[in-house]
Order: sequence, then C-alpha cells, then structure tokens
Amino acid sequence: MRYQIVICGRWLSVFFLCLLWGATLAWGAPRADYYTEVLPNGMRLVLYENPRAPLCSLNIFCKVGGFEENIETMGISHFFEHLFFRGTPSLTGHQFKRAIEALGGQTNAMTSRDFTHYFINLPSRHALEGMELLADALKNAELDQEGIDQERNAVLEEYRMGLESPPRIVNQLVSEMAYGEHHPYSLPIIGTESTIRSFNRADFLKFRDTFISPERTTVIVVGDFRREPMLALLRREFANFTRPQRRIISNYAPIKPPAGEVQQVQSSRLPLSMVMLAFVGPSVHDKPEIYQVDVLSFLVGLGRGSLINRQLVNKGRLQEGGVQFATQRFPGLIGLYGVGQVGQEERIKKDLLSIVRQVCEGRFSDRDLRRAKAFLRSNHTFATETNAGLADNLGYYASIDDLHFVDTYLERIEAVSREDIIEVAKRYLAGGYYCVLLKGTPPAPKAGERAEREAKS
Amino acid sequence: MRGLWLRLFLGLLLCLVSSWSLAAQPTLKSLEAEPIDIKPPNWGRPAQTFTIDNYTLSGAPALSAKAAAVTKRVLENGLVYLSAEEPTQELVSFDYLVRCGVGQEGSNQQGYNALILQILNNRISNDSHNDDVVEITGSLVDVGTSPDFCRININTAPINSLLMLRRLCQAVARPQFSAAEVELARRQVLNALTSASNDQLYSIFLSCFYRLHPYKRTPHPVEVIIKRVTPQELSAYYQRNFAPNRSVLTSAGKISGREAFKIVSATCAGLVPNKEQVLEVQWEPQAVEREVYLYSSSELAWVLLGYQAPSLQSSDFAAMRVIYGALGAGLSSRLWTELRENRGLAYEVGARYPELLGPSHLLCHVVTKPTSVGVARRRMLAEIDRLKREGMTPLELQEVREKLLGTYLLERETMSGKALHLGMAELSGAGYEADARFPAELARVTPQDVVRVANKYLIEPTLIIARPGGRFYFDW
Repeated sequence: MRYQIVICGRWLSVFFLCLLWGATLAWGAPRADYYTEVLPNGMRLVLYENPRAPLCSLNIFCKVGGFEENIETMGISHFFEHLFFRGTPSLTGHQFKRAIEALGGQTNAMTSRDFTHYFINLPSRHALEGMELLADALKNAELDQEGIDQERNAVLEEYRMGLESPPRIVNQLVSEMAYGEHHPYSLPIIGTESTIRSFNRADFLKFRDTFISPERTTVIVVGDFRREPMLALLRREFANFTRPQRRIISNYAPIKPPAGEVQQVQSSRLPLSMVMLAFVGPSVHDKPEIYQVDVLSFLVGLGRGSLINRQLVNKGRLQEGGVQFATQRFPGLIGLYGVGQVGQEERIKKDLLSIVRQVCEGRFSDRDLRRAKAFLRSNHTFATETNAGLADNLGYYASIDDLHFVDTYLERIEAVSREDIIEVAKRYLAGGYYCVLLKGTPPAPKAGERAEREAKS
Repeated sequence: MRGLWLRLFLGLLLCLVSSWSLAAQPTLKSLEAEPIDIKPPNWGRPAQTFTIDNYTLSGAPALSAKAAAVTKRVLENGLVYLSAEEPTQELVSFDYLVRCGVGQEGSNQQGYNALILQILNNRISNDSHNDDVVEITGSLVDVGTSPDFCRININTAPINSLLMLRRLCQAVARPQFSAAEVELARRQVLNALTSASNDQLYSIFLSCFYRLHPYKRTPHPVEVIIKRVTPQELSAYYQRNFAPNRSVLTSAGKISGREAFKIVSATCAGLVPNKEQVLEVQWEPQAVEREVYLYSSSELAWVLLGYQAPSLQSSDFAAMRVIYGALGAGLSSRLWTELRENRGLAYEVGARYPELLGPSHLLCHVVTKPTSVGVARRRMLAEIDRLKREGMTPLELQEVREKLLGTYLLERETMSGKALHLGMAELSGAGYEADARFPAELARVTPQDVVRVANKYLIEPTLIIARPGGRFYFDW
C-alpha cells in the first residue's frame, strides 16, 4: 500500500507540475481556438468567436505594402487604401460609407511596409451585412477618376503634414541610410509629391489586378457571431474571386550593419532636437531572436521603468526617449531615440550609447528583466482586449509570417533569459549603427527677455 | 476509504494550483513588505445591487446579451464605490473620477489638476526610491483631465487587482504633498507641456464662446502657474476639491466587489468630505464676439461654426446627439457629404459635441483652401438651416441612431470604457443606471424633436475663420 502511494504520488507530482506550469502562462494568452480555412482560390479565412460583447470586427489583410513598390510606384499602396471605400458598381462612395455607418459601423484602413489592412467594427447583429459590404469593396472597388482626383488632394495634404513631423523625418532618413536606395524599405510609404500626382486610373487597375488577389488576402472575423452563417457567406462571396495577374513576393539580399557609425545631420524649425541611433535587427523569421529583441526593447526604452526613462528622462537629461522596433518581414531597425534641448545632440547621443553599453555588459538587474516581460505581456493583453485588437494581432502575423505566431508568442517571451538578452544585445547593438541628429532651432526670445539682454549688453 | 483519498487528492490539487498561481506573477508583496492594516470596516450605507442589461436594445443575440451586475456602496464620507463584476473577463480596470474640472481651477490655478494627477500617478507607480512598481505587476496607469473631472485609470491582471486598488486608495488618501513630490511632478508636467500639442483654434473658440464661464479655459496647464505653485497651495486645493463626496471609484472585470470594498473602506474612510456646494456658473448666452478672423501661417484655412448645445443632464441631450450625428459625425454626415463629396471643398470636415455637465457646444469645422472660405461657410450655414427647416426623414433618423448606438457599444467594449462611463454617469448626479438608459432615450427621439431642438439651440453661431489673408480676402 505504501509503495503504491509513493508511485501514485510521483505521477501526481508530475501531473501537478504540468498543470501549474500551464497556469503560469494562463494570463493574457490568446485562446488558440480560432477556425481557419483556405478557400480553393487561396484566400485564407480566420474566424474567432468571442461573445464577450455584442460587437464584431471584420478585417481584410492584403500582403501588399511599401515592400512591393519601387522608385516610380512608391505610395501607390497607400493611395489605393484611400480608394478602397470609394464605391463599387453597385454603390457609390457616399452610399458605401452611409451603408456602413447605418449599420453602426466604424471603418478605417492602414498601410505598412508589409501589408494593408481594411476593417469595419460594428454591432454584431449587422455582422453579415457588414461583411457583404467589405467583400464588395475588396472584389469590385471601382477606382473612378473623380474619386482618384478627390483623394489625391487628401493624400497630398497628409504628405505635407508629415513633412513637419520630426519622428517621420528621422525615421525616413534612417531608413534611407540603412536600406539603401535599392531596397523598398527605404522608400516612404506615402510616396512623394511627384509620385502621388503621377498615379492615374490605369496604374490603380494594374495594382489591383496584381496585388489585391485571393492568395495574398486573409479575411479575419472576431467577435460575437455564428460561425456557420459567416462561413457560408464568405465562401459564397469569394468563391469566384480571382485576379488575372500574379506576382511572387520579392526577396532581397540581407542588409548588413555598417562598420562603425554612419551619421547624418539635419536641421528643423522645431524648438527641440531629436537623436536616433538605429541598429539593424532581426526579421520575423529570426527566431528566437525576434522575441528576445522585443523584450530588449521594453527593457531599454518602453515604460516608466525602462533604462532610458529612469536614467535619462527622470534625471532631466532627456525630455523624452525610448526605443522603437517593428517586427517586419525583412530585418527591422532597433531605434533608440532621445528628444532634448537644442545644442545637446552630441551629449544625447553619448547618453544613448552608454545605455547600449550597459545592456551589452549585462549591467541590469533581474528585476529590470522581470519588469520588461511583465510590461510587454500586459501591453499585449490590453491591446488584444477588444475584437479589433485581437484581429489586428492575428492579421499582423498572418501577413508577415504565420498565423500561429500568436499561439506561442507569450510563452516564448516568458522563456527569454538574462543571458539571451546580453547575447542578443551584443549581436545587434555592439556593432555599427546609423545615427541621425535632427537639430532644432532655439525659440526666439520674448520681447521682455530681448530687452533684458540688450540692457545687459 | 477510496472516497476519502479522492477528496484529499482533490483538496491538495486545489491548494497547489491556487498557491502556484499566486506565485506565478511577481506581486508587490514579494518586493515590498507592505503591512496590511485593515481597520474595523466603516461600511457606511448598505450595498445596493442592480442588474443592468446593457444590450437588450441593440437586439444582440442571446449569447452576448449578458446582464452586467453593478453594485453600489457608499462610505460615510460620501465616497461612492461601484463594482461591475464580470468573472469571464481576464482583466480588471479601476477608474477614480473626481468632480474637479476647469470650473474648480481659478484662473490663477490653471494646471493644478494636471499637477495633482501627476503626483498621484507617481505615488501609485513608484516606490520610495522612485523605482517603478506598477509595470512589474503588468499594470498600466493613466491619468487625464477634462472640463468636468479628473481621472485615474488602472488596468491590471486579476491576480494583482487588490494590490493595485490598495496602491490607488493609499495614494488618494494622503492629502498632503511633500516638496519632493511636487518638484518631481512639476518637472514631468513641464516636460510634457513642451511636446504636447495644443489645439489653438479650439482654445480661441472656447474663449470667445464661453466668455465668462469656466469652460472658456481648457484643462491645459499654464507654464508660469506650474512653476510657481507651492506644496502648501496644492495640498489646500487638493483637500478642498478632491473630496470623497465628489469622487466615484469604479471597478470593472474579474474582481470581487466585496473584497475590493474592504480595501476602499479601510484606506479611504478617513478622508474628510467637503460640505461646500459646488458653484454652478450661470450660462451667459449673449456672447459678444460672434465673428473672429485670424491669420493662419499655413496655406490652408479653417472655418469653425459653434452653437449652444444642451448638457449631458438635459432632456434635449439625446435629440442633440442625433443632430450632431446627422450633421458632422462620420463620413455619411451632411456636412461631409455636401462639402467634401458633392463640392470637393474640404480637406477635412467634422463636428464635436462634448458631453459636459454644464452648457455644452456643437462645433462644426471645415479645413479648406483660402479661396473657398466664403462658399464653405455659406454651405455649412445652409445645411444647418435645412436641418432646422426640414428636420430628418424617419429613415435618416434610424440610420443616425444606429451610428450613435454603434459608437456607444464600441466605447464600452473594454473594461476601462465600462468603468469610465458608469463612473461619469454616477458623478453627473443622474446615477450610474443612466448610462444604460441612453439607447432607450435615443430610440425615443422623433423627427419633431430634432426640429424643435435644432431651432432651440442652433441659433446665433460663433464663427472663427483662420486663413492666410485674415479678414481681408477677396472671397465672401
């Protein structure tokens, strides 16, 4: 009896340990119980029933963005995004928007380097009708010349507003330096004024026929809906959806970091200066480095407890600072940035480099690492609280890598160790880098101050 | 005998699972040994529980038409605690709202609210060495000001919810601010001012429209005031305005309201209520500056048309929301259709109608070319006159209702959205149940109501025009 209890106890212990290990990862992990199907035409469907609220998020992700453009076509994906909801043969642009809003829907779209995303969020009782509208836009967007001319003004205005944005200026400079003129990641997603003005209807039709194809499209539905009716509708709507032309997704030679520092200085009219150090990082395909760099970003520059915030911002050495890193199909740039007073650019750069050295040498605590992981996890969890957030998360990774990336993401984050961080920091941050110094202009002294200075002199 | 072993086994399993789950997340208890000093509870008035079905009117399928049980508890000092328990959620959100807005900040105190909120944020987020203790628990803290209230919002995991609630309550329960606290917060607020964008045109509109009413100011801090305020002045302001009887604490998500209330009553029972009546400034409808012309340094021109609008508590509020929805909300609105779709006049068209406890405004705006200012203004006024004359068809009314209902549901999808709106409704004096009544009120609006309310409020507009030529431009 005693022997039997001991044997039973050992197996029980194993059983308990398995249960409890699963419990530690329970919080925030997305349920991997979504349904997927690939239609005969290659279009992928992802349906995730989530009855928490009477809402639904309908999404289309197309694997086309800045990555598929060149020096003559840069900006066309973004411009096409503006035209997506401008009408079909059955509904004018205005009727289309009115129909969506009459269902209680809110719609928008975005273009990145790797994909374009169109969505409608609406009360779930109108989910099927909303999906019909979205499907109509995808298959039959009319792209009439009048709509193109009207949207051209809106796109040009968006372009001009971006010219005054320091983060956009700095990011563009850094991308040009890092990727070089032959890589599409160096091109601005919005294009330039001349390319925006040059696009005509024939260009958009060719773009649509080549890139808005079922093989490149994932439809994602998240929310309170019934799977069978939605599935039946999707199969019916997209059964005959094909495109005449195909283009294989391009690949480029891997980019290498520079041998040392490559610096560029630019002036701006703003009263503050911005410095960015950009290091060539991993792509989504580089595993486990992609998880390690995510944790590294939070450790170094995201959140109040990050190294940059505690050691530089809180101590008054920076007005603002942080890290930016986007997981992309092609290697992304790990950007450390700082905003500070005019004339302090070199000092800001040195401060940021000292943080880099600190991480490479392992001079951070276990608490720092725990904070980074906990904060990353909470950001991920809160971002996926809504149907739209869940869909965005699924579609993002489905477009650049694989849908199942999200299934194990938090578990892989949790597994990142201190040694992993030091090693990945040495691999990506210890070598050469690109540096942009955006020098601001000191504000003009006020009348009282001017008089005071004149009196003193 | 086997049954006994089975029961022992299940009990052991339960103990181990719960203890491991607690150990899994690094909690503050393992980092800072905080003594838990639970005083005898001061329960105040007995708890009341109401069940609200938020989703009936949306006609949602039965699966998600769940009732949200909201329990209200009130301390003797007037602090209200609302809990919306949702055991199926994996998040908890706390919202601490204080009825202290621009009306309580005198003109020489503009920015006090922002400074106090920064201090409270630091208290919640940092330990005594100014190291972060919130992010390590996987929590997010956010603060904000509005014309009517100040807000602290915390999102966290259920396992750390009571811990974060205690930090929140302990932070607000200390009315005295030290010099070090004030200095740190001062630096942070001034830093944020430099990089924050300030909608100058909107500020000018408020100033012209509200004239002597406190709403003429935005909650945006003023640098010179932030630089000179002393800890004593700030503490006196806090004790007067951040009083428990002017505050509502709401929790939404996977948290026990009963357990949470123990913490609230233990830490906040000592706060002293403010017996002064909140001063309501009477609205002055005859604003002097009806038309303002400004020089714009950009190549574009802005046209702003602002009208009186009813407050959140007014019986005309729902009808005015419908008018706002029809005129300026979204891409199917009348102004968008007329100015952008039909005439190609506008780069940007929109409207705003803030939900205010006092007299509100409906502000329509268009961004256009300088040469089109005159025709844009005429078309805007024509659309508003058409609404006043002809009202809306039943079909258009129904479409606008759906549009507003969709927005209503989306705003309450998250736990923090739920907590915020419950708290706002309670703080307004109408009771938290009022938030769930909005869809029904919307459904009761008739085309006749639209005409009546439009003719009552959309009169005597305030016009702001900003363009390169200022007033003198050859187009009118």
